[in-house]
Parts: sequence; C-alpha cells; structure tokens
Amino acid sequence: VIPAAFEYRRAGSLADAISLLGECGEDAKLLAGGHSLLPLMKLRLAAPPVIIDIGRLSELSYVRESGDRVSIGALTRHRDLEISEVLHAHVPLLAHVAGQVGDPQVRHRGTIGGSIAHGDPASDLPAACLALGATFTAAGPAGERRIDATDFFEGFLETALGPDEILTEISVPKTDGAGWSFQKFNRRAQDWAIVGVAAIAGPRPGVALVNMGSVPLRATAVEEALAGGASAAEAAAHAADGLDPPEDLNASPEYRQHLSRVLVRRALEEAGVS
Amino acid sequence: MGVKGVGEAVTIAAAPAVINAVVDALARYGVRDVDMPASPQRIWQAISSASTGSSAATGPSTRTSKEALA
Repeated sequence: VIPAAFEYRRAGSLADAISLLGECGEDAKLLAGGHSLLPLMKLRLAAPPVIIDIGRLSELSYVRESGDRVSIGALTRHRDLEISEVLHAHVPLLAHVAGQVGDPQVRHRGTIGGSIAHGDPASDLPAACLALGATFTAAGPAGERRIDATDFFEGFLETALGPDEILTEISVPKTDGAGWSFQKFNRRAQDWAIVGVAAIAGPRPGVALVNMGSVPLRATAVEEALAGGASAAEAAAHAADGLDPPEDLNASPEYRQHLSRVLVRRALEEAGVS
Repeated sequence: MGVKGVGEAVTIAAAPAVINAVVDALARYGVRDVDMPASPQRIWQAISSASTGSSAATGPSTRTSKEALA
C-alpha cells in the first residue's frame, strides 16, 4: 500500500522534462495522471528510483482540429476527451471510449498519453487508437518523431518509446459520418474489459481488441476478411485467429476467444459494416 | 430440540430461486445444473459442455436446488 522511497522531480516545461529524463535515464518514470503508475508502485510491482512529474505541463492538454485530423495533447484527461465538442463532431468513437474508462475519479485524473505510454493490453484507449489508425508523436533530445499506433505496442507494458522520450501528442484521422462501435464486456461498470472491441467503418476501416493478448491488438484477421468482402458475421468468426489471450479469474483463454467473436460481430453490426 | 430457523427463511430461498431460474432458462441447451456464482463464464461453459454432451447433462436430473447450490 505504501510505495518504495523515490526521488521526486517536477518538470516545469516539456524541454525541462526531456532534460530531466536525459539526466536520470532508465531510473526515471514519468508521472502524469498517476492512475496506472501509482497503483503499481503502491503494490510494489514497480519501484522506480526517480519520478518526474509532468502533471503541470498544461501546454500538453488540448484537443484541436488540424486539417483532416484531430490532434490531442498527451496530458488531456479522459474526462476532457469525453466532453470534447471537436471529438464528438469528428471522432465520436474516441470520446465514447474515453467515457468508458474506469470510473469518474479515474477519468478526471488519468490522461490519454499516460494510458497509451503504459501500454496495458486491458486498457480501452490504446485499442481505440489502433482501430482509428492513430499516430503518436514522441519528443526526445534529438527532436520529435512520429510512430504509427500499429508499431507502438511492442510487448507487455513495453512500447516503442525510448527511455529519454516523452509521448506528446496523439493524432487521429477525422471519421466524419463513418459508423463506429465500442463493445466492452465486463461484470462491473468500472472494471477493465474482460474483452473489448473498437471498430470504425468508412473509408479507413479498423478493428482492434482489448485484453486479447500481451499488447493492445489490431484484429488483422477480421480486417483482412472484411477487405476480402466477408460479411460482418463471417469476418467476426476470425476475431480470435492466431491469438493467445490471457487467463485470469474472470475468463479462460477459450472464453475470451468466444467473447471476441461475439463482440466483434456486435461491433461490426453496430458500425454498419455489412 | 425441534428448533427451526424462521427469520432467515425468505432469504435462504432467494439464491436457489435465482439459480433455478437460470437452469430453467438454459434447459433447452440440455443444462441441468449451474454452480454458483452464475458468472458469464460459468454460463458459457455450461452451455458449451451441455451441447457437446461432455457433461452429466443427459437424462433427467435428480439434483435438488439445494444440491445445485453446493
């Protein structure tokens, strides 16, 4: 319940945060909303020697239009996504998914950048970003680089971010008018999804899965079946192809595979993929 | 002594009533009993194993609701 001792540093600006990361190296963890990191520290599953608090970098909290995309600052809280008029108009899937994360307390503290950088396969927002074809911006001492969501999640709680990099922005294509769906199956409203599915129809279709492997996943077998002309029901039958979902108290791997097929079918039908 | 509980009588009946309703709803799949708690995974397993005939789902059940609770 009480975390191990750590050194606390507060970043006053993005440049300050990057230089603190360079100074502290692998020892440091970034703290944003703290709703993934702090529980791990309290359980002593994580014991980073240095915490760099970026929570006050208000310049990284925004949702704004940028041509045919929407740009979201990494420190934008789930609640701000949930009520964003820009998202409701142009990327309603993301606003809806943000409103399904945890409970109101979590949504008022947790940030989209924190959720993505944590890379938890059971989180909702990484799957939404995968389905939408998001691009992430990472800033480090060598400047900025962009990483496709598809290339970002490398292993269990491991991402393509370098130890000296900060996730600064999430960019998603506008999906004006396209059908979408988010299916989250759990036993209590505030729980992690036992299995979740994010789907977007339209010119850039995408389907992604929550809690079906060690990383947030695109449902590539479903996407390929749809591209080949399969119906929603036919494509959904491929939801668990090649996947090795985790086992826990809520579900066996076989049950998760079953859930993924049912939820993908519901998602495709709700999104209007025929 | 012939002592009988009275105060809890209504409470005791609630859980088997719910489980019996679940079992009744699943009777068409050949499910004859469901262990508590009736979680989604348990229901799925009951349906799956009953429809593949790998459980003791065949033939009339001799279980009472009290045994299904255990």
